[in-house]
Amino acid sequence: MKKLSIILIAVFFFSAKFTNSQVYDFDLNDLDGNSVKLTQLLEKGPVMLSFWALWCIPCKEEMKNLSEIYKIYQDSGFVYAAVNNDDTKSVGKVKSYIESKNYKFTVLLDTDKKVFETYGGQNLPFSILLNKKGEVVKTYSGFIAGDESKLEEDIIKVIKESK
Amino acid sequence: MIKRALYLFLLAAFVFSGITYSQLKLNVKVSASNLLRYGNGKENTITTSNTKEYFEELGDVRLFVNDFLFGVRYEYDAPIEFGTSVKGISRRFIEYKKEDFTVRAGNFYDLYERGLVLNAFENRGLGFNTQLDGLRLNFKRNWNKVQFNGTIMGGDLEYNDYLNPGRVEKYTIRSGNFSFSPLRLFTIGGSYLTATGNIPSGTISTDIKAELFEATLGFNYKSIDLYGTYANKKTITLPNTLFTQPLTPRGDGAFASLTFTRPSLGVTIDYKNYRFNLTTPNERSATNPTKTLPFQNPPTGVKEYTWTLLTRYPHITDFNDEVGFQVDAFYSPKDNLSLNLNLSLSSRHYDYVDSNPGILVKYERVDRTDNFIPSTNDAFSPYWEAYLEAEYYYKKNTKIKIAVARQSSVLYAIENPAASDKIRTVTIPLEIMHDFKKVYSVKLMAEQQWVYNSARTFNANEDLRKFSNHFFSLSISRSPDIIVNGNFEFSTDEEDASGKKKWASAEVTYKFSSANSISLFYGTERGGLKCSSGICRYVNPFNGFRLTVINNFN
Repeated sequence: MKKLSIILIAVFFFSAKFTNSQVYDFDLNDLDGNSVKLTQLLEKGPVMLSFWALWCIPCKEEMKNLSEIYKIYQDSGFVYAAVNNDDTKSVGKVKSYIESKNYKFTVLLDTDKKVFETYGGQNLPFSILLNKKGEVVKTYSGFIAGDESKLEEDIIKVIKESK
Repeated sequence: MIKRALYLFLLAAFVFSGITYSQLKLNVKVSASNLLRYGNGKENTITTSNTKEYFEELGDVRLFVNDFLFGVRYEYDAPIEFGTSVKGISRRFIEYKKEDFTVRAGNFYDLYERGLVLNAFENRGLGFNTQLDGLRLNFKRNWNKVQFNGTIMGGDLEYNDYLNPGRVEKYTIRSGNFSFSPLRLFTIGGSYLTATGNIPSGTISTDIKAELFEATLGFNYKSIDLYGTYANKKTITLPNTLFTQPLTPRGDGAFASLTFTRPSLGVTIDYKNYRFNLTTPNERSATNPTKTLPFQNPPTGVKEYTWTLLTRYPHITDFNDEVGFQVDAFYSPKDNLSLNLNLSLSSRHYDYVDSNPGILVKYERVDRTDNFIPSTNDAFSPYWEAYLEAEYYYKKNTKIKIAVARQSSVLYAIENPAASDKIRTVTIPLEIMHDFKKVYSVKLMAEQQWVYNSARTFNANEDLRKFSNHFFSLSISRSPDIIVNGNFEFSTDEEDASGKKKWASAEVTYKFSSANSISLFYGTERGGLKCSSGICRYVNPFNGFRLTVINNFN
């Protein structure tokens, strides 16, 4: 068993051709119950995934700023998806909150935090900027007022690189 | 076990990953995250001061290889802050995902519907963990407007009682869940779960068999979302010295939610009716074998606050016996003004009386026909709250948020109603935040709270049961890397658990890159009951130093 494992490991790695273009293609529902895959979002262009919850105040600050950035760059292919991490008690309130703010970006529900954990999230807010190929360009943990300038710079850069 | 898992993983990778031109074409990516927490200080009560030291190191690594995901968590607690210390691998799994199929072997959490049957999760801050170890298969498919999502799983759960970590409940679980939308308007769903378990109480353990099923219905049309779910639970206890005759009670629970949205307006009404274990007051216990099981965690139906003082007197939801509703509304009359209103009321279903006063207590239930609605009568241990918040942005860089909240709770004492615990609070929190030069930000928070707590016996004087709490916080940040925060709290409460009336602390957070940070905390922190998602723990007052390091590598 041990020898077989070593042989398998050796054959596996020596015969392998490594690339680094992994896309973890999740499938989450939006607020209307539609199934949305990451690959669908990536068809338009670079994607910013921001994990948030109703109880997280910095998340809402980040969302307000990213909503403004999204309005400016959505015609350039930029996609902003706010991935909600509230647990079961707040699912109804999420739609209620988003509609009251008149936000127009995609909101996805990750109530069991599967996608959040797969991307290595530990605390909210937590965001991931993906290029058009689905590669992680940058990871953001936390949000401080003023961070929106840096976020916008990164988004402009990744939009340019995607063209 | 790990070697076997690795072997199986490699073998599976061989078989399933695409072989092109006699060469494996591998998409490989590794991501990792790390969390380090260290605390050293004293935990104070009125009479004691104990040393509190903890060290927690959690490293998570995820390896993506084509359609496979391999994950492992290394944990080193010496000791853990709350819960049971682990030194070694505390999570490992292999997941295969291909189009609509996902298969995971190893550790996982899961949620069925709104958690009435299954809601396994971890809350590390409270030391709660219902991680499963087994196999899970998921299939999710869309055919034009038809959507199907189905999961089956089997696994073991070792649940360390988060309030008594030496007490371990063991379960073997088999379950399935599906939801089906034949039209976009409707969703129907169902869950089934069967579990065998062992629930210790002192030196005696009780073996149980539990069977749960659930039916759900959803309706979604334009601005209206309606959701309802009903779950039924049957428990059978095997005879032992504690229960010589098998107990076979049935319990059930229902949750419904209505959401109505219009541009600038959103209203949600939640209704809960949990009767998973209606028992007499003397049988209510965390070790009761017919209780709600630890992997059941339905919605609490009460608001979860972020204001410091509003979290001081939380409501502990009893999933065994609670009925209630919640109304939550968001309204934005202008782009720079938002309002939030929240009203909720919860209570037990029934009143109980002692039908044998003076000798042995014998409780009897007083039936009522309208037990599907909560009562404000003290005998039902009611909890209600009203909250109104306004948030206003002035010239985009100044935010003012103010709220007013009223909370009232009763913990009814049947034998002596005059001795019931009654807590009433009025809280007014205020937050002002100002950004300048697009980099700096100053945030001031001031919270005032007036409390009536009947449990305060000081001098048996009614006026001395009234006291006030005051909390002030000042944060200064410089984007993107520094946050400095100072907190000061004082109370006129003569019987605070810490024996103190003033608490002060400071915290500095430095982000050395966008996803990596270090935080240092020093000072005194007021303890109290902390709740999240229906899980509550009393946290002792702390006086000392804390270090938190967060790393993320993607």
